[in-house]
Amino acid sequence: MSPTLTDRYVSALTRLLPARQRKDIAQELRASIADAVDERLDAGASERDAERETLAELGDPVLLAARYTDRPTALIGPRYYGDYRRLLGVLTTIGPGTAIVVTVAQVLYAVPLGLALLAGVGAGLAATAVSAAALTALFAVVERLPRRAEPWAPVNLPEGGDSVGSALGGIAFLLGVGALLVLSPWFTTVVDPSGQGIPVLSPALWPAWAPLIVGVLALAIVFAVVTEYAGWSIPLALANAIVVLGGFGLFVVAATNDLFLNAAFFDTIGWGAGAAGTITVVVIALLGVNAIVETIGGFVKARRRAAAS
Amino acid sequence: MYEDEVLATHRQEVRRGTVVLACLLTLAQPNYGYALLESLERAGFPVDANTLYPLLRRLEKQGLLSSEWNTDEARPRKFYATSPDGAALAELLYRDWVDIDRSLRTLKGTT
Repeated sequence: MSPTLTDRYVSALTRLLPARQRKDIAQELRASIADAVDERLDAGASERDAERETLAELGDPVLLAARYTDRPTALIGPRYYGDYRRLLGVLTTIGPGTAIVVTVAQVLYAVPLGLALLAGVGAGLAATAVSAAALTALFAVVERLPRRAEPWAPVNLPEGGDSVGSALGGIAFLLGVGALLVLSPWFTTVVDPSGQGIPVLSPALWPAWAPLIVGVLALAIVFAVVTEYAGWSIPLALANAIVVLGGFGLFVVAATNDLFLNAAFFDTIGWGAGAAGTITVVVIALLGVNAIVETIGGFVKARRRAAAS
Repeated sequence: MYEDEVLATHRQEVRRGTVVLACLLTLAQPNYGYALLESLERAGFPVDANTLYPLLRRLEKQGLLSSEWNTDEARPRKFYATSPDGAALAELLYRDWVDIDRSLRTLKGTT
């Protein structure tokens, strides 16, 4: 026997309910539907119409399930929608930018213009799709983070005044570092005597290390947004310390194994063979200071919030 | 003047809270979902089935209603009844409603 419309309705609904509520709600709803159908039959409706009208009145089972569970029916709710739209608008500019850079890089490598344009447009579309999908997933997660238990107070206002502005600055920097890393093998004006390009970053980064570093950068972007919206707490400050100090440690290991700058690049432009080493030491020192400041800053903000609430 | 849609939303807003109060008052006598839907409608509180059924669950979770399955008849039905907490809340909400009514009369100058 094929399932009736009511069977299909009830199973479409209970599929979306927590397991422990399923049986009870299904049984009650079946009785309610049967009562409503009987009422319509008494009023002279055909069996087919009575069932159809009753279910139509109950409406989309997805929405009814949401009412039973008090679950949000929006992927991104009003709280974050404005910020999401603004960030999405900014992120869409990545597409044309990537398209231009990739096209130019391909042309520099003597790829015919038609093919270079094709590759550029493809890369631009891919970059837009990936960054928009990542941003959407990120906001959907933030939307579902547990809301803070304490009531909102003015101390919870973002430090910088414009929360999206400050989050954007950090995200733009991380995206820039990522783009430099990804494009560095292709995009260089310095060539060796045989005409081969010499990238500014170490060629040994490819192919194994670069994806790892891009992954760490993505994690840092996620973290920047989460701390911006969820507010600082001691667990978040601890996680921040792990991300910041771990990222710095990874950088030190990579840099001291000739995985940061390309010594040949600085030698060729006449800065001398030692220049890459000197720059590396300076960058390590700056990043080290930054890592310490960021780590302590996380704990200070968490304590300040805890003290103020 | 205003459109029908505007009228409908404002009326819905005014009536929204009264459904809970009407449920708590009616369920002094235990009843099941569909019959409650009908009796609320007859009493002048029309409510959609897809609003009422989840609402009953929510009120039960809040301890304002208690429930019991009745399997005496061929069709097992879940009966809801107002709990002591629910009755106390209904009393409080009812007094609020009377206060609002009095305040509105004062505003209109028809006391």
